[in-house]
Amino acid sequence: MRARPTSPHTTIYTFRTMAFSLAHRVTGIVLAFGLVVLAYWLMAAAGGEDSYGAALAVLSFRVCKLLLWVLLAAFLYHLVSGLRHLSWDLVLGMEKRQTRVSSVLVVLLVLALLGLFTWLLFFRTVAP
Amino acid sequence: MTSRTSLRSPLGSVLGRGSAKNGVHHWWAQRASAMALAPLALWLLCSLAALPLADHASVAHWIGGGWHPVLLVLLIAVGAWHSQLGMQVVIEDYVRGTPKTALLLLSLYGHVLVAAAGIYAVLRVALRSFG
Repeated sequence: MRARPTSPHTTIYTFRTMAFSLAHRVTGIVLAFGLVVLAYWLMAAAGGEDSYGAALAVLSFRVCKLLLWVLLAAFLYHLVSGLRHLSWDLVLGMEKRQTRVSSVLVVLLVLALLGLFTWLLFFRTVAP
Repeated sequence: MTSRTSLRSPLGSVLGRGSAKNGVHHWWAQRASAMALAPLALWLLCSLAALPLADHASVAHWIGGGWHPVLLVLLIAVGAWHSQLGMQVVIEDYVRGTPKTALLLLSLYGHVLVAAAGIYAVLRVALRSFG
């Protein structure tokens, strides 16, 4: 096929815009695999106490816990960054200065939420 | 711009091969699913944080309780839809030719499989709590 017009590539944007956009895509790809984890967890729960215990043992490996934490971080970034994208769709906050401010806000909000949920999910046990 | 051997103008060559007419639908579905997904996913995360995840009985009771199975089925269906739309764009942007078609099919089938498994699991837990 002949060369067709393509959408603008990452290199035409400022580094900050490129980095945040790329991070949104990368976290989105990570979250696609998060759906697999969610289905695995639900299937294990549906299988009964034994299958749930087996899945929990797998998910409790140190490397799996690390991957679950990466999943948490990816989700929080994709959520907050996604809200920024939705506001742009409403043509809100599209001025250069506003996007610089909102990029900092995204990082701060994600870090705060990540700290909170890291503590809630990984450093605290809830009694049944 | 690559050298043109045709006498057709650039505009003429684009006019015949323009939009596939489903770009707006894709864009709209991506946003609509995103807006539904944000509260649903945040609800799941907060619920997980409050649940004793090591205890099967508590987890199964939570999955099957009240409106939870409805919200979980919606979360899985809308999540898989949103994820499929996003992966499709990523694959279309970075992969060409036969691998592109193969990956698009793999992504589609994978998302449907995961959604089916997730929804089946939720229903299995929820319906058993009646029996």
